[in-house]
Amino acid sequence: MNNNALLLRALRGPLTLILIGILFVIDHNGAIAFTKTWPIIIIFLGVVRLGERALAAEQAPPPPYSQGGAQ
Amino acid sequence: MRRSSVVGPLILIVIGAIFLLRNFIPEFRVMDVLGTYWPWLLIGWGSLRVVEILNWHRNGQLSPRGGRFQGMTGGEWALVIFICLLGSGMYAARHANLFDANGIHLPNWDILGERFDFALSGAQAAAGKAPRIVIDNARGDARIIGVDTEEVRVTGTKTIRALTRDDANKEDKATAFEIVRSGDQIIIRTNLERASNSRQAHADLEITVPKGATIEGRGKYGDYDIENIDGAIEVNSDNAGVRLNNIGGEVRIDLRRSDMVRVVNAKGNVDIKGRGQDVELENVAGVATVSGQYSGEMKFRNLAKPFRFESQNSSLRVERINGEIELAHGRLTGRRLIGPIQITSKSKDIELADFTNTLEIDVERGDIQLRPTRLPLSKINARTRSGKAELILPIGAKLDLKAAVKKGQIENDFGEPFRVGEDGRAATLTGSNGGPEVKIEVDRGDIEIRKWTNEDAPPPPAPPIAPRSPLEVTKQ
Repeated sequence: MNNNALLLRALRGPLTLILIGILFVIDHNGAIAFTKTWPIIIIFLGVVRLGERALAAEQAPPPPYSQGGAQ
Repeated sequence: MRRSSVVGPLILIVIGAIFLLRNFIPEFRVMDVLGTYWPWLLIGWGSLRVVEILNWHRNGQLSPRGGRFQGMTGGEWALVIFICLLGSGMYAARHANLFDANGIHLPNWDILGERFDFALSGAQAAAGKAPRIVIDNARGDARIIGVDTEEVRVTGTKTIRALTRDDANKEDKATAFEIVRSGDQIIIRTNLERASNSRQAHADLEITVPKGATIEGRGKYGDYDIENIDGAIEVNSDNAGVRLNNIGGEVRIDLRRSDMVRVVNAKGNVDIKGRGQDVELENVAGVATVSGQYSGEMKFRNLAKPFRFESQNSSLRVERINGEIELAHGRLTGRRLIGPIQITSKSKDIELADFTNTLEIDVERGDIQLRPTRLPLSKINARTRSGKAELILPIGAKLDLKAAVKKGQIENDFGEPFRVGEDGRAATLTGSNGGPEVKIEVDRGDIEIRKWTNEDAPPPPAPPIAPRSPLEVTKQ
């Protein structure tokens, strides 16, 4: 796992926290109820996981056959 | 190595500071502030962590080993959930009155669209002299007036919240107003529950009906003003203010919540059930029953038949009220009552003047003041576990007194033939000049018996208040 994927994984928690806070602020302002907006959190977590996967794949280990050819 | 986060200590500092502020500045309402702004605590917390993590990342302190660097630990998530529950609880408690006051005027309404008004009207001819009319209007007020006619006529306004005129028109079509005859009933239906979001529509109705009609009203939210009806009235609603005037038949009101129930000039029995604030009954010729929980002021005036009040903590029975009974703020005052009277309560101060026939009072906590004015006296049995009992007798009263306190004092300003006996902290006052038995028991408190002075003379009866017509009652 490279450094960026690591960073994203570390940020996942705090960003979710901020998102929850924002949803509650919207709820308390009377715009849209939290009971309606909560699935955004799940979507957000899914997007972050996808991002982690993408970043991790950028530095995938080289395929094994590359070590066998030199002789 | 991972340093531990700076957020934990900061939260402690903030919480400490908030409570310190509250202790030094009383006007600073900590619960209100927390209830409103607590989500910012989450946002601030998250932002601090983001800054921290970016910092660690720049310094190369993030390491893949172990789960510790994950930004948030399980314990922290538990704390977040706890804060969310607590915060929304405080928010709900603080804003509950907003929902109570008026469920259809929530602030978010202005965000959800514009108001569109639609005129309603309908009529049912040849309804007969005494039809049974059912009003089914989920949200909105209804005013019903009986007149000399054989026609049921409805006018009113339907208000729909929608983003566009087209949406509103669609909702209007879906919730078509109906007035139909079904068997011997005439049903007035606003069909608001068919709207895509039924909270977004309400209908205010003005209905004129034959005088002899019987009315049944059903709804979730909205007031009923009913006047000049000779038939029975039945109102069943989740949240309604009900005002009835000049009703000939039985009245039954069943509410889950209400700000006001007023029944004036009813010839039949009146039965009020449920929860609410104020209740007012005046000039009722039938048997009146009020049961449930009411937090406001209650006034009962001129009830010709037995009256019964039941709540979780109190019950009251009176044969007849010529004057009035008021129940408010932990206090029951009554004057010009015809017994037998029976009062039990957990906690109430009781003040009765000018009552006849037997009287029975049993309160756990509260003062009792009794001022019988008519001779001869009747049997009285009053008891309070904790409080002061005061008996003010007219001159020349004949009674067989048995007063006793377990812990407290007795004062006898009436004089002969009563004698005080003391036994440690207990005391008694007994004596008889040949009247009915008057028994007063106090566990902890004092008893005082005295004669009337001029100040105790019963106040002249209050002039009757002219009943207000529901039509004159302006809506807030």
